[in-house]
Amino acid sequence: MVAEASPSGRPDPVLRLTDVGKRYARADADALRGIDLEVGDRELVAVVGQSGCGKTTLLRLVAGLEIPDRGTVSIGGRVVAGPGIWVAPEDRGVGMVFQDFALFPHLRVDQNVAYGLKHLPKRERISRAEAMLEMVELEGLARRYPHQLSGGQKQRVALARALAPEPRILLLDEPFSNLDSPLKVALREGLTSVLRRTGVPTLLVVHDVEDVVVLANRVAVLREGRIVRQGSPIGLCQNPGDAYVASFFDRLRLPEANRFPFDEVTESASGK
Amino acid sequence: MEVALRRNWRLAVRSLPWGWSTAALVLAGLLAVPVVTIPIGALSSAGDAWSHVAETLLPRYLGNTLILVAASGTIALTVGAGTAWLVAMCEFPGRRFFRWALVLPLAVPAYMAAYVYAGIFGVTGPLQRIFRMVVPGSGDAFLYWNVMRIEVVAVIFGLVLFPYVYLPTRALLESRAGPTLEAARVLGRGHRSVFWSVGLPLARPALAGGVALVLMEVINDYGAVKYFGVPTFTTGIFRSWFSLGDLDSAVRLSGILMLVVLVLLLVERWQRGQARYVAPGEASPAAPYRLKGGWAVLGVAFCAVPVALGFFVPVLQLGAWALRTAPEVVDARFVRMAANSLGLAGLAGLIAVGIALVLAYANRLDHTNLTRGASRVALLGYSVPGAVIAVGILTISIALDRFLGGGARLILTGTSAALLGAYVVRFIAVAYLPVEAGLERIGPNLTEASRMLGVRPLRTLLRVELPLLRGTIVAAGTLVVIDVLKELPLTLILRPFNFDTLATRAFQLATDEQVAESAPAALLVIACATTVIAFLHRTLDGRPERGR
Repeated sequence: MVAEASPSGRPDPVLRLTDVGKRYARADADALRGIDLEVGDRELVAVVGQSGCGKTTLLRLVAGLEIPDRGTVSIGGRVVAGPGIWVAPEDRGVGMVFQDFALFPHLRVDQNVAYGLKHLPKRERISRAEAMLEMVELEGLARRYPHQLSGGQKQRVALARALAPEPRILLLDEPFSNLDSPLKVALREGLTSVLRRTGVPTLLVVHDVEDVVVLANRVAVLREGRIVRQGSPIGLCQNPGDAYVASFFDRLRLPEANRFPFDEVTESASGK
Repeated sequence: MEVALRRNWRLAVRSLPWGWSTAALVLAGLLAVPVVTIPIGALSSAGDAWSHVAETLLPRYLGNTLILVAASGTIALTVGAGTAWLVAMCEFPGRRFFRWALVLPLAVPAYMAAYVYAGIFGVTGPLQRIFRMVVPGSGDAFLYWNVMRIEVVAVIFGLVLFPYVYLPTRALLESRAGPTLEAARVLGRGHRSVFWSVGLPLARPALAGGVALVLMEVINDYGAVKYFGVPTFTTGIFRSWFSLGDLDSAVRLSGILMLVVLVLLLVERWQRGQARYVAPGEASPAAPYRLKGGWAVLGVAFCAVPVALGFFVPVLQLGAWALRTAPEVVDARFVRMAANSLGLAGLAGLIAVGIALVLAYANRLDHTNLTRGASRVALLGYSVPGAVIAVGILTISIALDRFLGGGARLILTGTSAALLGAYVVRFIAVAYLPVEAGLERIGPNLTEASRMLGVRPLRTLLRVELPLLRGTIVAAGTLVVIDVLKELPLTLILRPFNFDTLATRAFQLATDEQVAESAPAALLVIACATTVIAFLHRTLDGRPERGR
């Protein structure tokens, strides 16, 4: 199954999912079946799939917002979900950036970032929040409220908030889906630099491979609740194996298809 | 393409909402007339009787009303917010049952609960009888707990009115707040911390709206405070009006009461205005907290006690009484009363929701102060005691009849049309507030998107907002129906000759100390309200509860 071996010499992975399954009473396509996935130290793993394939469910299982029907989830070697074991989300030490960012609308930006630092004394909380905002280059906006921010700024606040408590693993749910294109490039770069600097292991789910390839050191392709292929982006791109996987990597092989459809229209119009 | 764009643009511009604003202004004007007559009357010169009322009675009325408002508001807030959090955010035995059952106390009118508790704790009531049997030697002794106290009234209000807080708060926690609350959990905050730091602040608009409704109900009550002998503004109005024949003082008292409620409404508005929250995505309830051991027991108790005291105890007691008296009380006249009650309530609900939609939607299309002010004025009916609205309507209908040249023929006065109009004036706020909150929840984007696609406001309302607001609208109409079924003072004054509803009949029998005989009518009101609530809950809960 695995097309290319992951970086060698990994000790205990930060996150390990073993044969994880989740079904819903409503029998949606969103269920997961026998997921095996690992995220190692300083690794960034991307899960790709069409909407409804179970990507978000996967993240929610890791975060503790859903309870798996079978299999085990362990974080840092400790089982957080498994037969007879379930650790609440607040006790997992996981950072998550929600798709809609889920910033607290009644708290200022700095209060949002400091929210997960309850265990620290007040002074440290403040300085840590300041440092995080500086890292995402938002130090000037500490006193604003979320509704006064742009989409990209909101995402950076969400990222700072998730990273502030120094989580063992960071979960990103469709980090670019709510942003427009020019912003995406800038943010992708910002996000990469932040992740590289902190070195926090990251699990990322996206529906569009474009976002992932430059970021991830490993990609897992999810289809109807199963991981159908896993490997490095380059490896999957060169050897996708089947049409479904290939469909995600099409664009990379044909860079001209990346251009706006408008070009096509103009060309054909002028051709007439 | 370009042509289509231009056409759409023109349509969007052309359909500026003049028609809507005008309709809203006219409707608001009509609704306001009976209410506005009060302050106008209150500003006219005071009679001698007023100085007497102001010196001797006013401080007492004011004191009692404030105590009742503060105490029952606190109880309703605590119980409503607590149960909403438990049901929306926690998993414990019986959660599904309580989620539904916690709405039930809405079906019990406060004055009926008051008769029941006076009966239960009274000298001949079951509690004292059991006490006398169990405690030897107390047999003949006159054992008397004085339950006819203001604290007891406040508790009764809190117990039957808390669903006004519970319902909107639960709805908010289950839909909009979900992802935000999950974010708080993932950041490592514990249960209580999330409740205080995120749950309560997010729920603030719902809490404020709910408490405002509770307090208005408390201020408006006549039956319970009369029965318990606690003089408030409302009983004062009745007294100066009906016993002393002093219309002037009644109007002045109503004027003061209207001021109090105006302040209340402004505070509610301000609370919501501060919280301009953008809805984060679609509904997705948070993963529940699992309550274990002692916490689960506490959670069950916190839900079970209000449900029992606010619904099951009154219903069981009324049921026991009804079993005894139903054979002689239930006859053809009783059936007619029931038909009257239900028909009126249903019609009033439909009309109120229709008007509420027009007002709220006009407000949304046209953000001028004029439209906003119009809806505010229209809502004032809820703040005015039913009796005062009744007299406002009476005055107007008599004037109209005279204008129409009726002479001996009365077209409006003393008809069910006048009664219906009064209900709509009185309860339009019950329909309006949830509809407005619902529109706010949807946000302006969809409306604007639809209109930019060239769809006119009315069609947009029908195709976009109405389907999205279906649940809210059913809920709003149902609240009106229940309120009309329970309504008492207004009906007492405006009902046509020889026309009884279940509520007026129950009231008359209870005040004649025939509480047991009033039970069948009371029980039927509660049964209707309960059925409506059950139906409402099923309609609204068609969607899945958890997971995505």
